Amino acid sequence: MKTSLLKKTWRPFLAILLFIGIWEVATRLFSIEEWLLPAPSDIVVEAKSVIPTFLPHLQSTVTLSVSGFLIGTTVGLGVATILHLMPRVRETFFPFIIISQNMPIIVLAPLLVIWFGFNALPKLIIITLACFFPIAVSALGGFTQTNRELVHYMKMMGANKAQLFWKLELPHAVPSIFSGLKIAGTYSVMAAVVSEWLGAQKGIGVFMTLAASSYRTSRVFVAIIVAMIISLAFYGLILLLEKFFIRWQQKGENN
Amino acid sequence: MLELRHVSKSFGQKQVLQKISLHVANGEFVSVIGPSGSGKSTMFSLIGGLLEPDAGEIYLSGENITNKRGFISYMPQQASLFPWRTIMENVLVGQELQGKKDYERAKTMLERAGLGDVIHAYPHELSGGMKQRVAFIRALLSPQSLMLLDEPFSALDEFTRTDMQKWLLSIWEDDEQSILFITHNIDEALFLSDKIIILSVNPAEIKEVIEVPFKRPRDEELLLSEEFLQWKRRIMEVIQF
Ligand SMILES: Nc1ncnc2c1ncn2[C@@H]1O[C@H](COP(=O)(O)OP(=O)(O)O)[C@@H](O)[C@H]1O
Ligand SMILES: [Mg+2]
Repeated sequence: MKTSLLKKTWRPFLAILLFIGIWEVATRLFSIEEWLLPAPSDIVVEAKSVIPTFLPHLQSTVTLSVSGFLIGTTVGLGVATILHLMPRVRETFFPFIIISQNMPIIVLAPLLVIWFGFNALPKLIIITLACFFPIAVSALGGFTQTNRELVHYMKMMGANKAQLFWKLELPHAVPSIFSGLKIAGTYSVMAAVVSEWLGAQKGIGVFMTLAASSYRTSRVFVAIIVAMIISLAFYGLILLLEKFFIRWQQKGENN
Repeated sequence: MLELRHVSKSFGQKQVLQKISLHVANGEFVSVIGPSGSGKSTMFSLIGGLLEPDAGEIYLSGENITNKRGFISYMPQQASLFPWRTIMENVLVGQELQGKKDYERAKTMLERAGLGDVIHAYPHELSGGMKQRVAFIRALLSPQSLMLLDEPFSALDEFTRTDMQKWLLSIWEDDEQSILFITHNIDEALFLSDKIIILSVNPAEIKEVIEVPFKRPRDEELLLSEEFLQWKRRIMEVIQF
């Protein structure tokens, strides 16, 4: 297990090291200004000094994206369930869901600020919307793709609609729902940071805009890297949950 | 137990079943044989209440169950186990749908069926034959007293198939539920049943009902006996005309 993990990961790991190395050497060799492109070592130095003041921002963004993610997941699953159980409603509204999925949600931000002010609400709405679509669409896809033979078995055995949903369609959609959750997880961090650009007291987005406006580029990089790490941590967490929930799955069946 | 009275069914212009009347007694094993596409699965869907007959009624223990669901237990051609449930959780599905779960009885039954080692395994860890065994136990454990088995062994290879037939008899002969069994294999029908219903095609009508005289318990030697071959010839003649 451990050795195989090592075997799989050493190549990309080496590639990253090489990339950082070239970056470091290049900035020194061509003596690029720090405000334009800081060397990796500059970023590390900056990170060490700034982390204590950065922590509250980090905490604020994590709270924001987790809440938005949870609300978006709940709403997404709820709506998918309603649309699935009511075919008429689905026929009416599904096209809108698909259309709005392809709309850049962030363009709504100014409008939301006008309506709800600079507090947490418009930000939560943006994150919720960003998470809602991938989850609703993947869950609905999972519900409708339920194995026909299993559906036939359940009907022959006299299962009612509720039993069909809870015992068959929902568990059957779990792998599909998780692929939606993974997308939504990454969206939620991105949406949180971007929504903070609109104005907030705290958050990685705020920290970033402040750093950028004073040309403290190393700081901007620190913020970017931390945002990436949060995003990856979310992804990893969802992956772990998936492993737990889909432990019944045949190995290699889904990849 | 089960009675079909003049049941007919068409899909659009195409008539599939024509005035089918049949009877399954308590504890009886009845097979229906007929070529693919003759309407056997359609007949099961009618009994299960998934389809509405154009004419005729279906009775179970005197009660009219036409268009009603939940009165029979079912085993399809593909095992159709739930991949996210362990074997134990799978065989309890039928009981779950009707209300009460009997964990102890399921355990005893699985052990008797030679599935004791895989109680906590997931379906993908089992071979095709094992999955069919689980599907049969699941049907047997369901509270309904009539089981509909739709070509349960036709996806298995010949060796596994004979094993499965013997196994099924050994389990069922202790349990004595009623079984209505679809197959297109004459040997299988003769070896397993008390009664064989032979269907014609386009539309399916009952051609002949044959009472199988072999005593129970039956074993493999029966398959090679002179008597068995005579009955087989007899059935083949009916099918050809
Ligand atoms: N839902 C349906 N709609 C239209 N035709 C059907 C439907 N179900 C079955 N049929 C037709 O009815 C005939 C009998 O099918 P089926 O009962 O599955 O046969 P068997 O189980 O004997 O192989 C076939 O010709 C099939 O195409
Ligand atoms: Mg069939």
